[in-house]
Amino acid sequence: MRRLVPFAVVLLLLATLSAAAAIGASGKRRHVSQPEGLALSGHVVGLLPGQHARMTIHVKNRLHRTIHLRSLKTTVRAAAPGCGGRNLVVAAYHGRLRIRAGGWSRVFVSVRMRLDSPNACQGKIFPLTFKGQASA
Amino acid sequence: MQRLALTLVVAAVAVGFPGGAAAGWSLLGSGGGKAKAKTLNAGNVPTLTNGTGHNVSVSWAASTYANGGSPQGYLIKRYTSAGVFAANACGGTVITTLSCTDSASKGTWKYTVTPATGNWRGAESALSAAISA
Repeated sequence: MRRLVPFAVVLLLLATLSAAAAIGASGKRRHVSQPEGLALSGHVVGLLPGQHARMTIHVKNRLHRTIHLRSLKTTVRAAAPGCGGRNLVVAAYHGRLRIRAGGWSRVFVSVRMRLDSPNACQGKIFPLTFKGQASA
Repeated sequence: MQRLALTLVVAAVAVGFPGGAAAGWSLLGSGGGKAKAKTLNAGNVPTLTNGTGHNVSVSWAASTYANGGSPQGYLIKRYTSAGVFAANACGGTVITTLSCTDSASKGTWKYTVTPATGNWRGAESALSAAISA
């Protein structure tokens, strides 16, 4: 009987720790930043003041498991002195786009250049940064 | 003792992977891209004809963007025969057609055309031939 006491203590410890871990993990999803796992790229040309354009963003799943793209946001940086990023408005994507392991897909978002964008924006290139969130 | 060690290993593995008990996990990714704005080409030199009184009829060919498409309108300017700016012609606002009538005063004038879209401006055309109003 005395030989079983340490074993019982460890079992109790195991049960307690596992329960605590499960409760903590089920409350929120685990966020993993893997730049090499989800690659985003896209571009758009022909922007004019007050006009809408459609930008295609390519989403590459480099993982070995299927993912679902949940959201995608774009940050616009200044194109030139006197032509800030605020002159370009890019819509965010929200959805549940399934992308198989190692596959890719496209997301279309609306891009609008403000009607009052200054002349300094003419012919300039706005650098874009995409940030996506997916679930697996 | 061996049993105790084995149990401790199992416990360590269970604690080390709490995500296994969760419904799923979320992946964050990023990347870059670019968005390019169009460029307005220069205006075309206008042609002039005399209208009634001192009016001058100004007409010009449509301009384009570098990759096609037409600007919203045009700004017309009047210059003296010496090439000195005199006034914004045809009301001084953006003209959406390809011609206008300028109420000039008596004199000899030249004109230019500047493509315009919103706050954007193309290069101003060269001066037209002179006309006596």
